Amino acid sequence: MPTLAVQRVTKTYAARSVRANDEVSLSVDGGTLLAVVGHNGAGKTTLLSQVIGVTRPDSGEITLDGASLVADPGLARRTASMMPQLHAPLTGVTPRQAVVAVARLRGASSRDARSAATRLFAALDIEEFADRAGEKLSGGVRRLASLAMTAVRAPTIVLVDEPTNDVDPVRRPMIWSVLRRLADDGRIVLVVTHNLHEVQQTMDRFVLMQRGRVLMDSTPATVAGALAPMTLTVHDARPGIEDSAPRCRDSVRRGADLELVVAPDQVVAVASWAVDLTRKALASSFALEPASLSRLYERVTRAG
Amino acid sequence: MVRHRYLLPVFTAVQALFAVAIVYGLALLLPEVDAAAARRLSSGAWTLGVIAVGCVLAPRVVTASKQEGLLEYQRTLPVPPSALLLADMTVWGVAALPGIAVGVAASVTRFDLDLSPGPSLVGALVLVLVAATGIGYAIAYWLPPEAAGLATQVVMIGGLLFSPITFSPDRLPAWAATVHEYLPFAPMGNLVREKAFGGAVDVRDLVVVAVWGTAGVLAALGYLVRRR
Repeated sequence: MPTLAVQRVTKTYAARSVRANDEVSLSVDGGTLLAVVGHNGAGKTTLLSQVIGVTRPDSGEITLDGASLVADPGLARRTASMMPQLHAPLTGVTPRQAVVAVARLRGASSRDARSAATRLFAALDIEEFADRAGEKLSGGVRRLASLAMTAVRAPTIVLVDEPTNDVDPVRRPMIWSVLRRLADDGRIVLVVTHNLHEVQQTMDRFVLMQRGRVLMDSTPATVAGALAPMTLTVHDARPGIEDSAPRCRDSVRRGADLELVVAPDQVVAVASWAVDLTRKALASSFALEPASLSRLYERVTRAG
Repeated sequence: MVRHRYLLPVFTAVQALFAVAIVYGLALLLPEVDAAAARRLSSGAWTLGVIAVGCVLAPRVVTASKQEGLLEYQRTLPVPPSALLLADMTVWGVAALPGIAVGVAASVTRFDLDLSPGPSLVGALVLVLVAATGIGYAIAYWLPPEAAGLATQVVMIGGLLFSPITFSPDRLPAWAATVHEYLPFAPMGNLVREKAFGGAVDVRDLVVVAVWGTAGVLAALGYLVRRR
């Protein structure tokens, strides 16, 4: 299995004095679907640009199986493909022409390129748009075509920047299926995304970045199990009722709502307390949910 | 090429209009069109057409590509930067061909020309096209969009109106004629004219065009190789 190693990579853009990446280190093996999450401006896209060789780190090293991608940007371009944050430009070409052209650049024969393009269009359910002029396509379809350009005859590393933006809810799972398949075939797949629900559902691992640094490197399952088992949200909670709440890990007021972070052994007591509140009209309703990555993200980034 | 298929007819039309305007329109301004003037007008029309494609139209398309993100995307593809530039230059070379053909047809129709075309004329046209495109790409890559637009206007006005391509440098003040000997456009015109009509090429013209072309291509390549 190939291994991508990012070692203490630091990047500061001349125009800004802020470090876009600050001593970022991580190691990713083939077969991994890794999410890179974090606020806007956290340095996620800069990290991807450095892996593919478009941006040069000020210091640090990026290697694939020991070969430096920093010293040899040609190697980076040959061993990585990237779906840009703004979808790949399709002006003047159809998705099929674009995908076939990229496949040909990656060494496919004309026949193989065409069949690979057709398979990807089917997997993403965009066959009906495959031969339409690129400039006439919607943002979501362009993004799907852009993903097809990245995934066709994909090299060892696949870098994807916000793939599900603008895409309808029916086709979003198809994107994750395509990425999952790429990873299952042994590739290293890095996905920048803001969609934490999808991260929780589909990714093997995630890296949380803030102000250019890696705040957390974990798996969705580990986080959900270890840190915050359940969340109880009491809607329209009267002021002061938190004082009567049973013991729990944490409580936060969000406007009219009250949120409690609850350990498994506290669930029964807290739920019966919430039922009592609604009976007494001290709250309108409540919801008990499994802990989410969103909550963790909010807490960690606020603390960081 | 597929991406620019709608532009190619436009380029041909612009070059054809250019050629007709120079061959027929500029000739009206001259009291008498002798053989030397006919050669200058004819070869000037072809040269200006190539300059228009390389230094004006190509950079405008490149600027649009930069704004659209195409250039940034191309830099992530598994091809060396030199191949990207070579591919683009080939596209513009093909784009210029119909315009040159129309220009030649207009010149032959208007004047009784003693053309002596040969491989060296093709070589001269290729050199001029590479140099013009190199300069145009360097402008489009390195300057912000607004500045690139302004620069291409200056090139066009300078190349069309003030460079001694369609007229003799004798009509310019001595200092201006000297300046034009070292700018790329008049030497481009000289190369094409001498090769089209069997004259002897001035080595200085060849060197000036080669130096400008090399500088332009290297500057364009430098931009493509550069990492932020």
